[in-house]
Amino acid sequence: MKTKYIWLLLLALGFIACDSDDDSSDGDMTETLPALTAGSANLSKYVSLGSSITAGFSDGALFTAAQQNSYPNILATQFSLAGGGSFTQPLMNDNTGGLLAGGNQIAPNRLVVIGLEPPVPLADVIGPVTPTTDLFVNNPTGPFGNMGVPLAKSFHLLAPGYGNIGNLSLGLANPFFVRMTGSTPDASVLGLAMAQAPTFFSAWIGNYDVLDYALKGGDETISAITPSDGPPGVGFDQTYGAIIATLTSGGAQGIVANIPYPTDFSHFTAVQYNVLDPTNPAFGPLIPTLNGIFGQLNQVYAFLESQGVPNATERQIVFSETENSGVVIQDENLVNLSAQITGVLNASPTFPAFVESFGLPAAAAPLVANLFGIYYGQSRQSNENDLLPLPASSIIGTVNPDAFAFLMSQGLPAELAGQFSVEGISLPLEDKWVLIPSEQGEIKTATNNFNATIQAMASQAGLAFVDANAIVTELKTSGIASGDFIFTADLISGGAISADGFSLTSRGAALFSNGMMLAIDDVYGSNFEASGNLVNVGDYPTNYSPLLP
Amino acid sequence: MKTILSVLLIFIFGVTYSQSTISGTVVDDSGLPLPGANIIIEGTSTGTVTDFDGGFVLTSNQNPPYTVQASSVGFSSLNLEVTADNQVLNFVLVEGTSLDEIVISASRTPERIFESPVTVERLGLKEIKNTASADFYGGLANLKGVDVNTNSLTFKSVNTRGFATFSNNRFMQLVDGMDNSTPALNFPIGNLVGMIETDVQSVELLPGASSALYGANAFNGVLFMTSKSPFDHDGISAFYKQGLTSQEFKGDNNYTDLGLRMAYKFSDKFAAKVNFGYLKGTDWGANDYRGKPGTGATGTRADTGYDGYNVYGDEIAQNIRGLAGVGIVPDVVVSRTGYNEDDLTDYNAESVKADWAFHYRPWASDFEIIYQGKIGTGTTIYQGSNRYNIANFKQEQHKIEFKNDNFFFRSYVVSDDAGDSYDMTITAHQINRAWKSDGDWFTEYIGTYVGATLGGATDAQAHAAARAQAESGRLLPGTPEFKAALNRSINDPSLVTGSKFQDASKYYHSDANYNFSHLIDFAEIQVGGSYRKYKLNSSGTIYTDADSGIDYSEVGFYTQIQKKLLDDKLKLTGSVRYDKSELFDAFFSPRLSVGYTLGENDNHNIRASVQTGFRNPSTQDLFIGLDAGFYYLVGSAESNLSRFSQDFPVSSSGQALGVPATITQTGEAPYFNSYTATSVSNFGASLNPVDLEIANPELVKPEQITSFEVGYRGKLDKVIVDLSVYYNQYKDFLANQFVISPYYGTVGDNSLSIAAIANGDRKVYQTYTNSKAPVNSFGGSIGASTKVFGNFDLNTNYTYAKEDFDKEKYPDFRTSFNTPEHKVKVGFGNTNLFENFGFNVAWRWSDTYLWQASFGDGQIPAYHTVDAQINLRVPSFKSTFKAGATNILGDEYTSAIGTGYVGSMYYVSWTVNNL
Repeated sequence: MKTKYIWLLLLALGFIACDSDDDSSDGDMTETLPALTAGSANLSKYVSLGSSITAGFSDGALFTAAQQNSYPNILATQFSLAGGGSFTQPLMNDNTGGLLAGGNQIAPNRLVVIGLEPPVPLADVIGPVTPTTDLFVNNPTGPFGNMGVPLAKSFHLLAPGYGNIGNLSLGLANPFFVRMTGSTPDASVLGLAMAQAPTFFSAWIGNYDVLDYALKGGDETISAITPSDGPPGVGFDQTYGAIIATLTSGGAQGIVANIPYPTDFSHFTAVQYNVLDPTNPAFGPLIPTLNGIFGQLNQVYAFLESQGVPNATERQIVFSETENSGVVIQDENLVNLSAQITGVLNASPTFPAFVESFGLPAAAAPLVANLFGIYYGQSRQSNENDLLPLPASSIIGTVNPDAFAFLMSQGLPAELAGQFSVEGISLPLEDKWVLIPSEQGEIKTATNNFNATIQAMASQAGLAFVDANAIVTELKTSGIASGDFIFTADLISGGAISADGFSLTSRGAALFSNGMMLAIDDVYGSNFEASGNLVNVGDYPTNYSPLLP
Repeated sequence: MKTILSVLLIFIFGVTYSQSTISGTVVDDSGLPLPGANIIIEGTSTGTVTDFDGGFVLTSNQNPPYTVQASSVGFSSLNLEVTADNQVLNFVLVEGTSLDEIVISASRTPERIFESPVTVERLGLKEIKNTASADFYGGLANLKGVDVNTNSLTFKSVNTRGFATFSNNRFMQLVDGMDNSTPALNFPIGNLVGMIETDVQSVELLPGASSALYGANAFNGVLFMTSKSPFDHDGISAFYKQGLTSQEFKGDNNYTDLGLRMAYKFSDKFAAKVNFGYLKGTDWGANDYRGKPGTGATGTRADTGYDGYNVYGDEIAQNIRGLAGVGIVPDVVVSRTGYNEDDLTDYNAESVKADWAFHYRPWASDFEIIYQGKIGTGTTIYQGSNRYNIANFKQEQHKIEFKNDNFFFRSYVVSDDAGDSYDMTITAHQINRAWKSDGDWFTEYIGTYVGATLGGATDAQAHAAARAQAESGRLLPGTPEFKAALNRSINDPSLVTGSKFQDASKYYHSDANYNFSHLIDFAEIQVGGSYRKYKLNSSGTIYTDADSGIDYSEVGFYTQIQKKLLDDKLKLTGSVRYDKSELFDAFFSPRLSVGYTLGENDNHNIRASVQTGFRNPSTQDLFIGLDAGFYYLVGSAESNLSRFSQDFPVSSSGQALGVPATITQTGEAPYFNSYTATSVSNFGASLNPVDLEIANPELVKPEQITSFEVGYRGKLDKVIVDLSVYYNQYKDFLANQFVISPYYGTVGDNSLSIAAIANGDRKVYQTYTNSKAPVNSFGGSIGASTKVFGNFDLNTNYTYAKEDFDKEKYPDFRTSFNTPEHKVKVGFGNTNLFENFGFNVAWRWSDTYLWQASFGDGQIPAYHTVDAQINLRVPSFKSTFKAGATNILGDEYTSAIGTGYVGSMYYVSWTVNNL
């Protein structure tokens, strides 16, 4: 009798059952990531080798906060989630970035940025700075997992005594390495690394072999590019080969990175070749006078070209009153026309009158003609093919004290000596302040050669490889997206390159660490990426407060 | 007011003359009195209804002998002969089944549900009296196939067969033959200006397309509400309902609902009625603070681009790297901090409505002239592309109708006044701008972010510092300053500085129908027609009618032939309708149906039909021109394109390309020079111009539906079954498409227009167009009802609905199906558990479904809800006392994204003399 409506209830109950099914499936919305595994990589003892960036050098200095965000330390932190052990760094004593040797400061304080203005030394913002890291007093105790040594070139890693305090005065030691050698002052960087029996290493070696030359404006008298050839400790190729052979001799695995083109760094792109701005009140009003003076010189160039000196008029100097102008530079590739200039001026019947217009006696004309010859024998105005390293921006327009003293010694009155000692305007910028195209070419060629060696060695040894060169090029061209950010190579505003223009910000180090972990995933079958263990770049700062204690 | 007074005076002093009197009782087969049964002298319009004890007294000037018929919904009617004056008639009516109930809507002529050619649902007096819902309108939710989406406490949106948002202009609501949709909005605001409970005679619901009879917009379904005639139901009846609404968010709040009906039959020629209704409560507060999909990982304010569903002002968002263009500024969208909806409304829910009607039968015959007026004002919340506080909204309707049994002609006007209504989203924008312009806010944000980063902050720290700085000066809810800014905005109708709506739109409508059945024998033939004229007038706040009103009209004609064959077992119905809108090509909509009754006792009926429907684009689809905050809505009537015009500032990068600092876009931009929004976001990710797709949506035209339906109704022993299966094919589906128009360049030029997109010199528009996507849907429902354990009513129904649409092929097209695949409803009750005591329990379960609407998309979890009531009749006071509760389990649910969670309601009510 009652069966006829039971099915109605069953129908209803059937759907209540559906209800609970749906509830349970709805709740399970979160995606579960696989657990982290190191794959075939043995990360238990990790050692990093390299130079400034590896050491955590940033904002033109080495200081605790940036060291803690060095890419090796970021990597070691992530490695520790996959079997990695402890990792120590030779931390500085403070965050000033300055380094003392017996109370004398031998390395400058860090640079800081206020607003989106060019970087300035820390002391410009907070007043006198007292660094507390003194390599005579408070060196840390090793061994150090992070064997990155600021400023070290490839062959320095093999050099005994590179960390011996006794060699400092000879210029054969690196003060940053001196802090790390402890009781074995003559041990090499590589030796101290190997003493730790690493199971895994990272090696970003060779940057300074080209970068240092670039940083010095291609002035070979200060720093030369490491030759490709030559035995270990001299030429790059064999040195690099020896380092990799040694590192892998105990069966260690590792990752290597190649060398970015130094000229991709904002250190060389931030300052425009035509930095002279007519609206600048310190420069603009002088333009007519300057053009008057250079008019004399330009006539000389015109005359010389008419006399068969090729391309002499290309050296003519004219400052625009409406647009930015190039600076006056010394180009060592130009034929030295000093004698010709002096000669022509001396022969000019109007030149004495010109000299008199500066309040000098007409008799001084030969002296001035001689000075013109010395000054402008190999000068020209910079053009879009020239690169001015970042520090040039703070030099241009200032009075060069050496030139000033020289002109005074030549008998010029102080005012005139000052006017003719203005860097980049009346005084051609020295070689070290300009990378001319030929120097850029040398740098590029050397970098390509070194990188070929690095890549060959990496693949021969079966190591993971990061194309740091491509990364920096990409930063410069299209930018690189990571996390919430799109990094560019722009100084300060780009997010990846620190205030010195050639080392990484901590956020840039995080970006680079992720690149390394991806390469490690590739070669060793680990899964830092898939397991969600790449780092969030936004968690790392780009800059550090001037007030950081 | 004067009218009401005079009517009252007539009630009090009115005198009637009588000549002959009969009396009696009407009881059911178990001897219980049947109040409200109709008593009518056959062949006349003279009649009355039984009182609370089932008794009646009927006076007439008719001389015996004559026949008196007693009928009551749900019972077979009975005729008795009167042979002498003062005779006492005792009717005993046998209870019938729901299939025997009479419906009018399905064929525009009375017929039993059993033999109706299409699916039709009915809510009769018994169901209305016994509903466990808080009001009869809510009781519609228990019908099979019906979705009731709760917009707010007083604004429930009824739909059938899918594809509904709260602006459901695919569904029609007719109150005493009048379209109840609001001129400004194109859809009815629930029962806000509808009918009071004691005046409801019946509610019929026709799911599916029926344009062949009802014209444009009878697309998803039609709801018919019919009031009681003062000729048949006179006297005073009233109800008073007091209760509380209980919601986790807003707590417990009082709820009052009362209604008064006064009807008086002055003579056989003249009768009148007045109704008054008042409701006051607190709306369901909306506190869904989850971030909209795509606005952040955590869905909280911790996300930089957080845009919470019920948080407004945070729609104003920018990619800060796009603004700053430097690498230390992250490539993320940052939104302004918004205000919770709770801070922008008091959630007052109120409705006051009155209606009156004068019925005149000049010859005391079936010819009747009716004037009916309705006015309603209310405060509620409506959710369209934004959430709107509809405050002191007024709607007025006036109708004059001439009819007899064979024809009617009616003409009515519907007008509205938006009152103090305002857009809560825009209000939040205006409050924010009152203390800091968007430009300043983002400038400060980015400046602080950069400063913090250069000072050593991590990304998270920099965002925190940036927001803290940008928020300095924020007006805090609760302060007098906040209140002042709020009031300034909601009282300011300027689109630029305020958020008040203005509307005083109208439409005029006329309907005529003639049934030739008394003249022609071989078939029942009807012809009819309708005319409608729209007069839009929103002063530029909704429509592009800032300078002048917008008028346009629609006209339609239809005819229907119904023929019974094979001993009346086979019923064929064919209808066709012609419609012409001033703005579009003409349409023919045919309907064909066949019904066949079979079985030994004629207990089974099968039916099949093909129906077509169409829907004219709504006035909003055609003529809107509205700032929705971060995009504009622009209707696609041809004349609308030039009327819409906005000036936009051009970025400095754009100006560097030689573009002036300000450009003007008209409505032509989205329709003739736009990219699809999806492709622009793809382009944003890839920066590859190939990814840009030209949108240029076509101007909108009517949407069409063809609906196939087969069904069965039958009595299987004592179980009554009604099932139907349908398949709907939609064509030219009316759809919104988001497009992006560049300020300069021509889309597809591969240069300037791309630069405009890249520079952010572009505007997002919501356009109104027809989707090329073929959309189909299918479904069915089965309902069964029976008596169990003696006289307990058990009914249960199940509804299935599914859309058939290729999402992958048309990723930009959102169908807004908004309907659960499965729905189950069960009702259980007894009207006479013991003497004068009844109860009813209704359980409903809804499957999970995806809600898509311009306000926001999201998955609606499955929910079930139980409503219950007990009632006690006290015949001596002609009263029914009822105590009930809705959502008695207290599991709060929503039927849409963005609305307040529906809590529980508890109420007691006292109804007097509702027969």
